[in-house]
This record gives sequence, structure tokens and C-alpha cells, in this order.
Amino acid sequence: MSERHESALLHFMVRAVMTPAIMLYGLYVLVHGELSPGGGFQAGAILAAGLILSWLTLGRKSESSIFSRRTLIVVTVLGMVLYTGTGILAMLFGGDYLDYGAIPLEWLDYALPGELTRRQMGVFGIEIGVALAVFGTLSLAADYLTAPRSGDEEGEEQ
Amino acid sequence: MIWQLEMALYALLLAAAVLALWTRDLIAAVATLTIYSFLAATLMALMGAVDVALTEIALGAGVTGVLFIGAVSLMKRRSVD
Repeated sequence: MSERHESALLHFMVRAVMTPAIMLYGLYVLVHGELSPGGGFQAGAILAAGLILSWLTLGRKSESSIFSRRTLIVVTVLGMVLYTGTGILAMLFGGDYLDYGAIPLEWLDYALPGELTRRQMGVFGIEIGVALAVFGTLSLAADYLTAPRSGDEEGEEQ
Repeated sequence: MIWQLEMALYALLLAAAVLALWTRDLIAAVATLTIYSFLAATLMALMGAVDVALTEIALGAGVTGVLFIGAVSLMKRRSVD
């Protein structure tokens, strides 16, 4: 599954057309998540699908890729920390856990009346966290499942 | 909604499900399950559940197909029962 294909058209279509389009759509779903269908989970799944598609067609070159296993673990943990941090930030300013209305973001009030802005930004932070965590987890699962195996269980390189 | 289109989608959905159970080639079964997820997502979007359809298309047709292919690549390609 990890051998490389040498078709220039395939490389161009996947690397320059399909994966950027899928990733851009994932970002769109993430940014518009609280107003329209979509959200953090779907955006993370779409982002991971774009990355996995390029792995499946072009092969996995873990040395040169920016999405190495270590990076993906860091991204996953960062998403969880972002989610929990947003909730605890609201607790630090006197609200309940995940009570976005308590987070002081008065400098954003030019866009919407205060309470709405704060709640929308809180939901946005939560959704970015969920998207990062889902993206990292699904990519890691696909990475471990499709890793090349030398011998029976010896294919666990760093 | 156009009811002929809906009936055709239901028929294709049943055909994809039966084909996924009937075939002995596991990669073909995974591809048929992907088609099943895509048709189910189309039906959900037609019924107005766009959020559910988006999840179904991202997970059912995207990620689980890849995970199934990864699982099939660890064992024999054809089922024997």
C-alpha cells in the first residue's frame, strides 16, 4: 500500500487539486460550523480524509512529511488542551465549566453585542479543538493501520 | 422531493447492501459499503438532515473505507465462509 506510483497526472491531481480542495472545504465547514451544518467533528474528519487520500495514492514518506507521527500526536493533544482550556478559562473568570459568557472579550464587541460575541468565540474555540483532536486521531489510526510491516510485528518505526 | 428519485436511491441502497454481503472479494465489499454510505448520505440530505449527511459522508464514505482497507491489507483478500 505504501509503494509509490510514478504517474505525473496522478501526482498533479492529488497533490495540487484534490487534497487542497478537500482541506479548504474542511476549513470552510469548521469556520461556518456554528451557523450552518458542520462543526468541529465533521471538519476534522474531512481534513483527515484529505490527508489520508494523499497518503493512499502517493505513498507515505514519513521522513519528509510535515505530518509525521509525532506531529499528529502533538496536534491531537493540542486540540484536547484547547477544548479543556476554553472550559477552564471560563471557570477562571467566575463562570461554570464551558460557560463562554464569562470569558472577558470586550475588545471584540464592535462586531456583535457583547454576550453573543463571547459565546460565539467560545464555541469557535471549542470547535477548533474538536477538529484538531479528530484530525489527529483519525490520521494516526490510518497511519498505524496502513504502516508497512516488516516481519510480523516489527514494523513499528518511530 | 421527487419521489421517483427517492425510490431509485432506495433501490440502489438495497442493491449495494446485498452486494456487499454477497461478494467474496473483501476489497469489493469495502467499495460497495462506501457506495452504500454515499447513497445513505444522499437520502439524508434529501430529507433535510444536512448535518447528519455531512457526518455520514465524511466518516462512512471517507474514513471507515480507509480503515477497512487497512484492515483487509493485514489479512487475506477473499473471505472463505
